[in-house]
Amino acid sequence: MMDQAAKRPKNGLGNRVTRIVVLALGVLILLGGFFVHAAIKELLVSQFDQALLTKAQTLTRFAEAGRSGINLHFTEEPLPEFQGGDDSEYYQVWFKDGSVLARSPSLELDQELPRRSQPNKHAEFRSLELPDGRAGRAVSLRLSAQDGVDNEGFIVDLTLARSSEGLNQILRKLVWGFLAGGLSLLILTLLVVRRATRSALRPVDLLAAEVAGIDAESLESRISVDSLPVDLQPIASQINGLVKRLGATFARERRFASNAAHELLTPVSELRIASDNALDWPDDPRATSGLAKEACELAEQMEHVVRSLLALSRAEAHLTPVNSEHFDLGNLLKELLDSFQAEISSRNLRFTCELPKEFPLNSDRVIVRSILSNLLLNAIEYSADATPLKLSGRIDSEMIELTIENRPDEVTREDLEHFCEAFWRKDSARSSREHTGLGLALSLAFVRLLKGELNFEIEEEAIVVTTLRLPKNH
Amino acid sequence: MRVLLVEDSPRLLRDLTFALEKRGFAVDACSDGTDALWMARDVPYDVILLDIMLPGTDGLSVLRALRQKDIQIPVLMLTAKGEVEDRVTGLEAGADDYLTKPFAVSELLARVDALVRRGYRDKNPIIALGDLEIHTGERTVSRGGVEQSLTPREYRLLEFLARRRGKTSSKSEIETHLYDDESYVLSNTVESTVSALRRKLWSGESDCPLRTQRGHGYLIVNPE
Repeated sequence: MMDQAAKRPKNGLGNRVTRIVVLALGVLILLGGFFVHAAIKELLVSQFDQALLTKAQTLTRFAEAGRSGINLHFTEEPLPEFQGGDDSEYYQVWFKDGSVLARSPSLELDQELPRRSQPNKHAEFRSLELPDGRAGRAVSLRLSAQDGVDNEGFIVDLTLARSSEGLNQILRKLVWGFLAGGLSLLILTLLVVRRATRSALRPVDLLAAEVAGIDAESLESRISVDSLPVDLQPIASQINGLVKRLGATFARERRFASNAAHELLTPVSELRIASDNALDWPDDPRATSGLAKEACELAEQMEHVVRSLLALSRAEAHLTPVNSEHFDLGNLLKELLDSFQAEISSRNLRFTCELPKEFPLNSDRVIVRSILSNLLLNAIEYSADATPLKLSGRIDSEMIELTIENRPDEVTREDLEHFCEAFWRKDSARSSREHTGLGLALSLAFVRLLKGELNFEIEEEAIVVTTLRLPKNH
Repeated sequence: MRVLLVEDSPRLLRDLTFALEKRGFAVDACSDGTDALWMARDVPYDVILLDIMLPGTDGLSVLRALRQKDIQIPVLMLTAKGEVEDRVTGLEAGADDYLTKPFAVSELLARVDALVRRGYRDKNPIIALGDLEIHTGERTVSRGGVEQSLTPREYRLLEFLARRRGKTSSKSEIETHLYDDESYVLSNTVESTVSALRRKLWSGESDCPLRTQRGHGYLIVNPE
């Protein structure tokens, strides 16, 4: 059982839950990482751009425009970042007509920066490749300058560009960081979820192992319900119920086969032995006399069993034709009781009868007669001597009801479950040849054919109450 | 040989008793498991033929009770239940053989003979005493190849003593094994049967293997 719990199938619940959780978490991490990365990138780029813009605006405050261009005065010394070399920055200024007004020393004569192209925007940002080949970021502004000579104002376009390598490196590290973190989280989640599901599903594994161990040879075993989690208990209870019913069915089938074999093979065996003796010792009257008569009796006995079995089979398959007619059930009962009177008297049974004056029934008279004959004969023959035997009847709107109360010897509640089982007899040795154990089984099959009900109960003082209900109009 | 037949079908009880007696067995018959248990405890039967479905105590319970009391009489189970598990149950309960109904009388008798031989540890159906041969299957006796005419009673005594050759059997032991409860046994039946055997098989011979042990019983000595 432990080995079965340990071997988890690929499509098992545990692996499925783990896959779903890890997949979902993976998607969440990816999406989350994507959005966070995008947000951080936007923030960083925005900050970079703001710094670039601030610098551009700062530059313009220190600009002195002259006819020969704009002079930037920041300090006595020229700004070093525009002089060229490592980590240079670049600027370029245009007149409104597009002619270049000024350019940074870092910009070669054949090198150009992109000019402002969107007239509606105050500051235009773009990513670009710097003249020195590095990745960069530029801001383009339109601003007004004052002619230092004439003091006249004029419009110029300024583009300032600087390297964004540092920013890009930060963003790359951010991506790797997210990937590494996300992967670690996924692996951790996989381990935790796997462990958690294994632990949580252990009762399911144990239940599955117990159920897998149930076979035709172990139908007596039951799953322990109390040791299971509350949500699995109904499943275990249902399985136990099903196994119990299956066990009862198997037992019933085995009993049927065994009893049928006895009922059919015993007379065949008797006939065979008697015939063998007659053939081996034909001159011995002990072997031959009475053989013909016995053979006849045995044949009749077997015929009775076979016919009863065939009738039972047809009735259970609803192949028996039902021919309904109106008749009085009271008259039919009287007819039957008259035929059983000798038996009733010989057993000293205290018989009482309470039937409606008129007891109409619309049903198959022959089948009803067979049912009543079996039930009454059963009640009479199995009652203890000198005990009460009561027959009563009533009619309601849809059904007629007939009740037989008798006191048989040694019948238990457990026996009631088998009353209508084919070939079942209280005497397990099946000594009596007058009964085959098919009478009540046949009665039940006929009752069901007529859409009726047949029940047996034990009441106080060991009285068996047989209740037959049939539709008034079939 | 004496057998106990336990069968609740009156017809089978009657007919099987007839067949077994014709075969030369002394047969005690009963139809109830409880009675069978008492009888098996009291009498050293050579074989018990036991039906399973019996009133009172059922056949399997009788068998288990016998084995628990260490009564090792060979048992042949008779029943209509022929499924493998039924046979296994019977054999595991201690049965020596199992026969399902319906069966031929000849098969039943052959199986009973086999169980009797097994009880005497005799696998050979022919018992040889010098030039005397007892054919237990056919119930015939021959001497020097010539068949000898014996009555059923004489044959049964000869077979009984031959199976116990070398051992002395008392008169009461002989009577118990050879005659059923219904038989009328005179006080000198055994002696007269012994006499008849000597006369028919070893007449005039000084070294007759069928010997009387005065005060103890009779035996057949092993041939040299």
